[in-house]
Amino acid sequence: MSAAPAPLLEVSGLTRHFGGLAALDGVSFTVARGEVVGLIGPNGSGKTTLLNVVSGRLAPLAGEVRLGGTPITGATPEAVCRAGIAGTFQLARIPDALDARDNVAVAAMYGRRRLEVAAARAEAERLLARVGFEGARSAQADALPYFDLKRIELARALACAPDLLLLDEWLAGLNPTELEAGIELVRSLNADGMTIVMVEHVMHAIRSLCGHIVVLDAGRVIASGTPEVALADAGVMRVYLGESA
Amino acid sequence: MMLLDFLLAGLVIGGIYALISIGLNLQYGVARVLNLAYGEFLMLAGYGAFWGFTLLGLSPVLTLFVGAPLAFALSWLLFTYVLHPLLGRAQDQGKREIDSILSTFGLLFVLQGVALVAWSGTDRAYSYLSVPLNLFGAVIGANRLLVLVAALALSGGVYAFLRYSPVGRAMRAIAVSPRTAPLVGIDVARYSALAFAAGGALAAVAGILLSSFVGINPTIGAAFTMKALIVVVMGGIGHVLGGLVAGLMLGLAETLAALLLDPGLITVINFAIFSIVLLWRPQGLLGAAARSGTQGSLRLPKQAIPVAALLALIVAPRFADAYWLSLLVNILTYIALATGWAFFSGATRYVSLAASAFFGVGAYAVAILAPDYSYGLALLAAVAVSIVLSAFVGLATLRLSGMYFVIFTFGLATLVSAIVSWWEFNIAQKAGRHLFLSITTTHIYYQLLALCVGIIALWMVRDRSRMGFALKTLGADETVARQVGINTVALKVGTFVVSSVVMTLAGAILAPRWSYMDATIAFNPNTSFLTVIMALLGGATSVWGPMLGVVPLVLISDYLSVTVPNYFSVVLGLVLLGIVFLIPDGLIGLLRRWRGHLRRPDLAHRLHALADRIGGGPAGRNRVSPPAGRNGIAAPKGPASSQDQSQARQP
Repeated sequence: MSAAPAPLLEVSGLTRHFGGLAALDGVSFTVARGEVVGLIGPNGSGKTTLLNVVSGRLAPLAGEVRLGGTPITGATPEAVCRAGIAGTFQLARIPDALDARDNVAVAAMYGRRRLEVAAARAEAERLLARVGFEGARSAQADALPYFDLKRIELARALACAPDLLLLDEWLAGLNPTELEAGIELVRSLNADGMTIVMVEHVMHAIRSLCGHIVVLDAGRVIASGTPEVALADAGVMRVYLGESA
Repeated sequence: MMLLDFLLAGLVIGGIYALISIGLNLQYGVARVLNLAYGEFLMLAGYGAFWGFTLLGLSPVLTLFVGAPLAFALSWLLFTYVLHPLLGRAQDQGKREIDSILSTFGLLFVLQGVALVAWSGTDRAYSYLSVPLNLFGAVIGANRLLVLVAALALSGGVYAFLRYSPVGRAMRAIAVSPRTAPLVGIDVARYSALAFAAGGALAAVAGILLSSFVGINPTIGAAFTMKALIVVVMGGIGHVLGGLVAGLMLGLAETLAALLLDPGLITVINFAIFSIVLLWRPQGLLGAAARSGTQGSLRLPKQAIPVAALLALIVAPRFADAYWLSLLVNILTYIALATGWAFFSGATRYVSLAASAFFGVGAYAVAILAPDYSYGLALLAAVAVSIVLSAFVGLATLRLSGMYFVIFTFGLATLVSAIVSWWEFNIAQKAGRHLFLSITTTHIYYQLLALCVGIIALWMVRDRSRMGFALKTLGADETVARQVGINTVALKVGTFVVSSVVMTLAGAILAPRWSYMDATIAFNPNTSFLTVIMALLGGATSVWGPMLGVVPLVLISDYLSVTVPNYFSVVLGLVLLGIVFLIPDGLIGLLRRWRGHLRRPDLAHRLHALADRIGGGPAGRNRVSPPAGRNGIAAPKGPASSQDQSQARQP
């Protein structure tokens, strides 16, 4: 994967403060087309802020985000979606004003494809099947188990037809069986050509999915590379295990 | 020395603004109640000072020491026994805000109506310490100086209290994060009640101080609520010092505007300042609150009912006499207004209080243009003005949290009315307008019918199009809506413009019914009030909801305005409070719940089947045997029992 041509996502020098706290302090990295990149780091290291900036929910103070060479820094979330980035939320957000299928269909109606209602619903059914959702498509969110909500979120992100998928702890909170199914699903999406950036605490998932990881601490990139190399880095050991490690 | 005089006068009124904005800040920032009846407390306290002075010879300074604790106690009771239980049951912040707006809006009408009935509409003023003093060469009444000193001292005191006392620190913690405050041992309910009560006490102090140099009448409250809101937004929610500075600035700006421009333009200046602040630095203010929790879509009633109703309405004028026809015109006007209102507010959950602004614009456009030009041109002009006005309001406020929109629309009718009055008086030089148009009531009736059919058809088309899905997503969770590529600002502004045009046309079409019109008639705030309660009574989230509320309320208000004209607004205010308390989802929600009860066994059944099939997840994980009620025989009715069933079924 290292031989990939122009990177799909380029993040350079991203900086964002909250009051006196530097949540992001000059973060740079690139993601090649077809890669699965893991973003890891202790709580508060800036992972979710980074995803929020990339997806347009927060404007950076400095730095640049490019998607396929086009700058998208500071674009609104809807513009970022149409440029080709979609994602899931850390805690699943599925409005129960719509049923499971329509929650996905609305992303196909807007997003990048702008399908009409009937076509969007057909697409939503296809995508729900793709992510292994077996529940009733007419079920409301408040009637569904957690893993189903996560699946609907993933199907909704895919319905935007993105080039790049951002997963914010999508595997968190799953039981061991679900976790294996979730890892397989992410792997198969990548096998179909989807580029993925995932924030994750589950190391087992990181090791088995990511060809490349970026380690954040206190808003800075302290290591990056293949999981074996980056996780063995002395700085990373210190951040995760303490000074004496 | 003229300038210094004016500076002092501006600071005096600015001191009052600072006081009430600090009080409102406590109520909204800490207790999370947007109290639209805030100014009514000020008004009542002003009356208290007036009556104390004229009947008992009490000096207002003494009244302060009675009035402030009394207002504190009453506000505490109001919060603890009415608002807190009412708002506590809202599932989310969005619903809580809407409930607080509606219930305090109802309270506003009740208190205003009571004052009007009890003390009539005349200005009540008394003379206390009105001796001129010489201060650095400027002349100021001793009473005004006292007000300025008291306002500044009290603002400083509240600031120091919030900053340095443990109770103040707890309140600030709640203002920052009501959810995490309990984790560090803060009793949120208790301190919220205290903050709300303190806010009420500050309003009372402001009212008593104000009464010493301004006449009090039942309707002054809303204007002060509006100004307090503007100052809170300018100063920043939760910032006492910001409120103090902004209050003094607003007072100065108003006084200077009155001196340099025209006293009639003060409202316009207020709004100009407000708009500039909103456009310039909204990000320093409260961020966008997530709104969620709309209900699922409602199935349309059988097509036969609306078609039959439409046919009946088409032939009705042949059979109706003048009384019934005018009642039908009334009903159609409010169907257009309430449906037009809900077209935007029901879908997006942004509560607009500006129906009367658009209605009045329409009516006035016809009154001004129709006699000299043509009726058609007047309609076109009305539509054009309302598009510009609503697009401006939408762009200024709809990028922000719903609260700014509520505040802006709350004052919009006053603003437009002030502009029209000023224009009529200074430019056109007319007190009112006489309208002699050869348009019959039947003619008006059919135009209104067409308008109603138009908005309902538009709504139905919208619900089936992509836009309907986008609005449902937006109404439930704006962050999600943007994430999937929906341009929510364009969607909100567009929907708001359509909604405003419908309300404007209702006013334009109805205008020829009046032979005489002035700004107080055209922009009567009751129009906004009735529109909102009708839509909510019926249920604002579905197309047939609003009209369900219109028919009973037009009949009730028709009856009330004949039998108890004086208590009209009191009773309507109580009706609104009752609606918020008793039927939060509106009549259509009641209907849906009844139908839901009938279908519930079926639903419970489906969920079990679903949970079994999935086998994972919280509901299905413990299940060992297939549900006994699968064949539907044992499935009981009602939500409670269906829940029991899902949890207690073990072999």
